[in-house]
Order: sequence, then structure tokens, then C-alpha cells
Amino acid sequence: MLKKSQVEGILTAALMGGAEFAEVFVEDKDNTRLSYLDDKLDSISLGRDYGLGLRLIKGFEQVYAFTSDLSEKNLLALAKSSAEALSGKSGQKVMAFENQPARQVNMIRILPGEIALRKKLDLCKEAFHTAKDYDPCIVQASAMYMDEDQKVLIANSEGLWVEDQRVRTRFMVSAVASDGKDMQTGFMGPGASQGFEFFEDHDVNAIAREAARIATTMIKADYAPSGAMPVIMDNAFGGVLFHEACGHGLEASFVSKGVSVYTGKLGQQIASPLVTALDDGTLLNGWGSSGYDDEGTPTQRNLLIENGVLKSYLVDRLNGKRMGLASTGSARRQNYRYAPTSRMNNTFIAAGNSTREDIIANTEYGLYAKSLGGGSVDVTTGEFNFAVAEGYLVQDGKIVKPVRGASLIGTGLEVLQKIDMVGDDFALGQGMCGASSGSIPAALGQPPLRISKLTVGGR
Amino acid sequence: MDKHVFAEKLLAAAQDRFQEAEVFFFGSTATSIELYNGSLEKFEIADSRGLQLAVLQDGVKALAYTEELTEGAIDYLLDQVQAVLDLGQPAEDLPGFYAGKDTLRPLPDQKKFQLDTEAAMASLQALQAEVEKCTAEAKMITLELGASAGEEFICNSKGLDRSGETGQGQIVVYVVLARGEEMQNGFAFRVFSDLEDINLAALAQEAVAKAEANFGGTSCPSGQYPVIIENDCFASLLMALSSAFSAESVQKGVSLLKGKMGQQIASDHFSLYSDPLHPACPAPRNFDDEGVATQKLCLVDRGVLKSYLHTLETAKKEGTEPTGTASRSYKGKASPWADFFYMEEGDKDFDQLLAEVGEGILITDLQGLHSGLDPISGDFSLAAKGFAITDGKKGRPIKQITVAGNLINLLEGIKEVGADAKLSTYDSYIPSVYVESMAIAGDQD
Repeated sequence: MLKKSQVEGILTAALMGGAEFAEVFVEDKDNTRLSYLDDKLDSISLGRDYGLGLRLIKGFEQVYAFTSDLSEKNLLALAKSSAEALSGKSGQKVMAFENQPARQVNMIRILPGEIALRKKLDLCKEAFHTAKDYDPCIVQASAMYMDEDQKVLIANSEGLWVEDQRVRTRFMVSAVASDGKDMQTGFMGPGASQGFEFFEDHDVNAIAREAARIATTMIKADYAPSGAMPVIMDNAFGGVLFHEACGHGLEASFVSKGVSVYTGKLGQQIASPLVTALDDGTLLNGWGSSGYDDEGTPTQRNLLIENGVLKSYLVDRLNGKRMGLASTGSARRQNYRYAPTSRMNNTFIAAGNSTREDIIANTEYGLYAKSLGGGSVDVTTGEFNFAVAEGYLVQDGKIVKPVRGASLIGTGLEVLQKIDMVGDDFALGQGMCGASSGSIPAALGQPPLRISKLTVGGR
Repeated sequence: MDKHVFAEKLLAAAQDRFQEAEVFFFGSTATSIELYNGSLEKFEIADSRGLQLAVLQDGVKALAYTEELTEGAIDYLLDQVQAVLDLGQPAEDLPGFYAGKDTLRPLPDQKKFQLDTEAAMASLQALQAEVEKCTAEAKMITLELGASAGEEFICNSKGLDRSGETGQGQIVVYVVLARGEEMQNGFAFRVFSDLEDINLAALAQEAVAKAEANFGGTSCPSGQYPVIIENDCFASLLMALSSAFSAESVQKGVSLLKGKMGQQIASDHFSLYSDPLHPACPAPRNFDDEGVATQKLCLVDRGVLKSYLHTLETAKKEGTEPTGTASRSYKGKASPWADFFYMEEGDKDFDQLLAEVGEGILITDLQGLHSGLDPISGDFSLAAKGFAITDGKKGRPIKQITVAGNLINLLEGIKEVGADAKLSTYDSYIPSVYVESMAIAGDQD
């Protein structure tokens, strides 16, 4: 990493164009990725990401420059060309750096680098065999191990100096079932802000069996029906509902420009009174947790919706300035190649009172989405979609049969009002979330809940 | 350290220790300016690079990468590949690195666009004025103009030493229009080597028209409809299908085109090629990421599957020739990938296609391709937007529907192909297609 005198030199040179704020983000990240398939090591990627991002802000103008050449000569040249992109005169000085205290929200115990590659490979091998041997209809399986150890330095012209370390581990299995004609895939991929101790809490065989179980179930399933109907979404990755239908629309990058459907709705009832939702970057070992956000602001627990009333947006520095709001510790970026912006960390709907059994028993006809795939949203119209990875048809309060190939569509404001039952069995799921500042690990979650009417796209 | 010096030193050190060694470098630079409602929003200067070391020892391949090119990084890479070899994986019958004795096709003479800040700002302001001329309903106008360049080289112990550069300009318009409570957005872009060639008025009009057309849309009754899938949309579906053409997917048993070589997989209106030297390709290339010469490769000829996409490894496994379609990032191994897809156009223009359909649905937007489409089974159920086709003409806007089916059934159901191929954001040149019947779900039964 860089010395304080070097950073001061870069920031000073960068401020020459009249910016009132300058910031560096230095990243040094070790990556390990292994995938095991066809009973052999299919691919392995070991390496190191290394670079610096420099950001200048003047009014609402932003300059972002990045490089992977951290020689002093190159960095000063970069600072100079960044300054020249703005049309002003020097004014601001760099304040003396003040070290912010280390903030360990994840309590990492075993750094991935301390573990032999062999051990990581053995986990993949074990999971591969478990998935492959689960059922004769499983024709292919793959097990993937991933760890990363990201060290960042965030320093700015206001004297902030933050060093943070983010360690993450994820294990993913996918299994493909075939009936000789069609193929169906099952996937399970938990992750956490943990080191190798992740495997004390997660059994790779259980992950493999779950992926294989989904594939085996779905290959026997008929196509889902289509049309508008009640939909029960189960917990964990079911949280993709809130993530797409509302979460993205609360990001200040859209709200500050008035192009989110949630603009101007603070304090208003935007959801059913059964809905309380949070975004929490401080959850112990949460997939999207970190001590500081990517602007160096401490992460926090943000109450977004309380009993249906909108309480807060997700705010970063620049968009907060536009809105007159303080940062909520929500600035994130994939790596040094992206300027930070407001994003989600770990976003979820809190538990309610109904049981899963009650919710199903009270549904005359509808779709039960037991596990969900990814989705996306158009924030300006609020239209979202996501895919059902494992679905069942519900008739007369009972689960009748598995159904495949369903997607769910709707608009955010409408669906939040239509949540009419919220369960008590809360769980989180993990995924990668893509937006303007890149692809970042984000957790999502909810208890099982019911939406009174949603369009199901089957055939 | 200079990248070439670093690569030479690394290759020399690796050759001493391992039977075969290869260095793969990729670097990119970009400058872009973004305007938000007429004011500078973001100026970006990008400069990044990465380098991979790959070695082959006793039938096992190992690789590692770094973005830091210092003396210490050489030892780091050698240690990392050694750690992979120390896993003691069973030997395989792998091809050696490519010697590169084949002949490369000449590259087109292409001017490289350089971004001059003042000229760029003037162009963006002119574009801003064009957008404002088209609409008084803009809630947000975001414009972006940028220049980007890529540089790649591969050298190995077999004597291969190939390098290439690409560079182009890009201009983007994104608008959000507001009408009462309702907002709609529209997007248009152009890739160019000379900014003078771009008609700014047409670009502005395209984005605004897209947003305007969607106001007041409603759902439609569920059912089977004849459908036109607009060029951009069909490009996104084909992109999702592209992994099925990968010989790697076929060999792993996860391609829906496995065992279909020489068979009819689509209607005879459908012919698909891969060629990064097609005139419409914005980043022309004459060798792939393993150093193999690229070619015009026919994948599907009048509905019949003619070839898969190969790397050196998949070609050796199948006992065939590589197809110049290996793609890799410095972070991982090479996999088959088409740099540029294009489809043979039909002879009917878009209005003639509409007339032919008579009554049906025109699909202009598909969402959820990364989740609602299973590339292994080919099954999809996607959120869609579009227009009714009434009396052979484009009618009312339709939204909140899904379109579901299977990619192979869709290809089999192509009745006509338009003459309106267009460069898509997916690096392909694809026309609109008329599909006999597709399952649409709406909110009415």
C-alpha cells in the first residue's frame, strides 16, 4: 500500500483543478477460484488484483481515474490529467490524515491464504461426488470454491484515512438432471464474510445434496401455468423480491435525480403494514458486510421501511449532497475500476407472525416459489422480474406438484401493497448484484410471504 | 516495469523451470465524458492491465495472474503455478501451446478515435440540443462520449509472438421522460471510428422515440400469438444461446446442441456465422486469445448445425481443427466464445414483416435473460414489452407480459427474417425475426 506522504502528494496534485474533494481508493486483493467437474479439476484461477482509483468532486461534477500502475511517476501524471478535466483553480488543501480505528464487523478467524490449496480442492471433489451420486438422473455436476482477501486503503482530502480488510468465502454446487430428453439445473451457493471457518458452519455435502435435489425435482416437473395468481415466496433467496421490487429503487443514485418511482415518498405508506425492511452492512459474517463502506464511512443498520412506511433511502456521499442527506454507509464498488455509488449490503424483510403451513393452507390456488433465481428491475418504471428455480402448484391449501420454467413479473409499488401474509421463519440468501459500480456481493432475505396477485409467466 | 520487458523476463524464467510456458497480456485504456441534464457529471480516465502466466508440465496445465508488473510479481507467478502443479493432478492429453505458423488475414485500415476534451464537450452539447428539440418531457438526459482502446499480446515457448490493438469511440443517449406520474426511458448508442460519421439528430430521435412509444402501455390476455422479435431483442436471445455452440459445453454434456451436428436445429431461414472481421464488427481481430487465426465460421447453414466453437483443447479432444474462437481473460483459462455473431438477412423490410404477421405481438424489450433463461435446457420465461400488431401495423404499447418457450422451438418456428440487421450491444449484427407462435402471459385470462 502507499505511504501517507505519497497519498498526500497525489491528492494535492489532484486538487489543482479546483476540486473541493479528492479521494484515493487503493486495492490489493488475493483471489482463489477452483472448479471441479467431470471428476477432475476443471479450472483454477489464482491471482492478485492491484490498483488505485482517484476521485475528484467539484460541485456535482465528478472525475474518476484508475490505474494498475502504482509507480509514483504514473500516479502523479494521473492526478495531473484528472485535475485538468476540471476547469478551475487550486483552492483546497489536503488536511492532515487521521487514522480511523479498525472496525472488524466480521471477526475473521482463518485467513484463506493460510489454508493449503489441496484442502480447498478436496472440498470440491467431495461435493462433486455427493451431487453426482445423489440420483441416477444427475448427469453432470460441478463444485466451485471461491475465496478473496481484499485489503483497501481509502484516504481523502478531508483527512480521512481508513484501512479495511474484507475476507469472503463462497461454495457453489450446480447439478444437471436429465430424463434423456430435457435437462434441468439445480444450484446452491451460500457465501459469507468469513475465512476458512466458513466450513465449520457449512457442510459441502449438504450444499451438494440441495443442488441435486432441486435438479431431480425439476426434471420431473410440468411447465408452470401462466397468468395472474397468488404467489407464496419462501425465505432466504426469496428476498430477491424486495431487492428488485424496492431495494434498487431506494438507491440514492436514482432517487437524487428523481428517476426512481420511490422519489419523494419518505414518510409515506408505500407497502402493506406487514412489511418492515432493513439494509444492514454490519451483520456478523453477512455476505455484504464490511467495517467501512467504499468511501470510508462506517457501515450501519438502516431501517428502510417500518410497518409499510418509507423511512430511509440508501445514500452515498455525492448523491447525498444532491439530496441534502448524510451518507448511510452504503457506498460500494466492485473494485478500483469503479467510482463508488449507493448500493445494498444485506437487505431483507423482517419476520412476521404467520407460519409457512398457515400461508399455504390459506391459499386456494397459486404458485409456491420455494427457491428463486436472480432477477432485474427497471427503476424508472418499477417493473421487475425474477425467475423461479423451484416452484410448486398450490390447490385447495395443499402443494400438489412441482412446476418448472416460471418467471414472476410486476411493479414495485404494486407488489409491496399486495403482501398479505408474512411468515416467521426468516433466512438470508447470497448473490452477486450488478449495477453501475460493478458486481458486488449482496445478501438478501425474508421470511416466507404471500403476494395476493402477481403475474406468473409460464406456458 | 515495462510490460514487454516483464513478459520477456517472466517467459525466460518460466521456460527454465517448466516444459512449456506462455504469457498472455491484456491492457485497456479509456477516456469518457458524461453529461447529465446538460452539465458535466463524470469524466473518467481508465488505464488497467493484467498478465497471465500459463505453464504445461507432464500433461498438467497451470496458470496464475497479476495486475502488478514488478520484479516481485515474477516470483509470485512462478510460485503460484508451482502450487497448482504440486496438487499432483492426473496427466491429460492436452495440446501444447500454439506455435502460430498459420497466416493471419489482413486487418481493415481503421482510424483510431482519440478523445479531445473540448471537441467532445461541443459534440455532447450539440447532442443535448438535439434531444431537447425532440421532447419537452425529459426528466433526465444522460449523454456519454468516450474513446476506448485495448491491447493484447501472447508469446510462448513455441515461438508464438502475436500482438493486436483495437480502438473505437462510443456515444450513448439515455433519456427518462415523464408524463404525469408515469416515467419511461429510452436508450440509443453508436460505435464509431470517426465522430463526423454520426448523425446526432437521428441518435437523439431514436432514444426519445423509444421512450415515448412506451407510455400508456397495458398488459394483454394470455395466449399463443404470432410474434416479431425486434433485432436488438433477438440479438440478446442469441447471445444467451451462444454457450450452446461452445464445444466445451458440448463435451461437458451441458449443451442443448450436443449430438445435433449436421441436423436441422432451426428453420431454413436461419443462418448464423461468427467472424470478428465482419464489416460491422467494431473491434476487428485476426487472431484469437490463444493466437489462432480467426475465420469466417459458419455455425448454422439454412437451419443445419455446421460447427461448434473450439479452443485448442476442445478441438484436440474432438480430433478436429481449432476455429479461432478462444477467448480468455488474464484471470482464467481459454474457453470457446464468438467475438462477433452475425445472421444472414432476409429480403423483407420491417414494415413488410408487420404486414405479413397481420395480427400478433411485436417484442421490443426482454428482461431477465441472466435468470429467466436456462442455457442448458433452452427453456425461457422472460419479462417483455412491445406493441400489438393490428391490421399489419404497429399498434398500442404492451407491457407487463412474459414470453416463454424453448430456444430450439423458437429457432424452428422462424417463418421470416427481416432485412434490418443492426449492430447490437451484444457485439452481433442481427435482424428481426417473425416467429410463428409463442406463449405470452399477461394479467388477463
